[in-house]
Amino acid sequence: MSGDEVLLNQGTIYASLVRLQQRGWIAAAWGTSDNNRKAKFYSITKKGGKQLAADTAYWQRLTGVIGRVLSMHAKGGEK
Amino acid sequence: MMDSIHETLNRVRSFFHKEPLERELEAELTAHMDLAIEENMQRGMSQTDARRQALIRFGGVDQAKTRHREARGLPALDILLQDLRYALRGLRRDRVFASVAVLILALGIGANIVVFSVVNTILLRPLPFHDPQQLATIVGTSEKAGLADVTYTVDTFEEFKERNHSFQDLTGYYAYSVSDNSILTGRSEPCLFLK
Repeated sequence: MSGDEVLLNQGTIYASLVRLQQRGWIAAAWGTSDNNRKAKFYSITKKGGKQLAADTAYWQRLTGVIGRVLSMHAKGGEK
Repeated sequence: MMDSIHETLNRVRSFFHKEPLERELEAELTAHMDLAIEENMQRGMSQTDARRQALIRFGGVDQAKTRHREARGLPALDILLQDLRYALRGLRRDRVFASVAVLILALGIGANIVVFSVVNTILLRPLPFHDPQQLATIVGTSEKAGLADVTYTVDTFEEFKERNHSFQDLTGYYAYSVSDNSILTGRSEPCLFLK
């Protein structure tokens, strides 16, 4: 997904998952996978969806501002 | 704000339900490994290779578990309890050391209480009068024996009291302890005793 630019050990995801779960942003349930194996399935909650929307908007605003500042610098620093 | 309260409550709950959560984590990690191995074998790896690759991609299993525990519970409290248990075990093992430590602590605390009660009575507690900073002692001019020389007869005291214009009031006290000296402990209107 990250185009191999970010490579994390798969094990690190479990701490993040439990944190998201404890904030009520995702829910987990045991189920059966396509090839009939028991697995835990995570789904985003309504609260999580709202949080994601808010954080996405914030992130886009932030990167937009940073992008504009950096392109201004590249152009020679005029206003 | 609400989210952090939610998270804290969940952390406290996790702190008291370690065993089921631990079992759940174990099951989840096993399921993860099984799926990864199966996936690798479908790509044509041998079972040993598939397992090895899965473990490599996963990273340290124990580190993952530790991070999971830190994220879900109260790690600071866990460490504190661990330290307390270790200290208690150590004390139980070395009884002589424990008794000496307890004895030293007891002596130290006892000495502190004694010194504090003396300092509190003499230095810290205010005098039992209104505006104690306005109190003054009348001292004679004789330098021979200092304060020990300053005693007055009852007549002198009454004379002082009668002619007093500078002070609100005058009183006297008997500083030398004799066998029939009594200590006043209560507080109320003073009255005069004549023998």
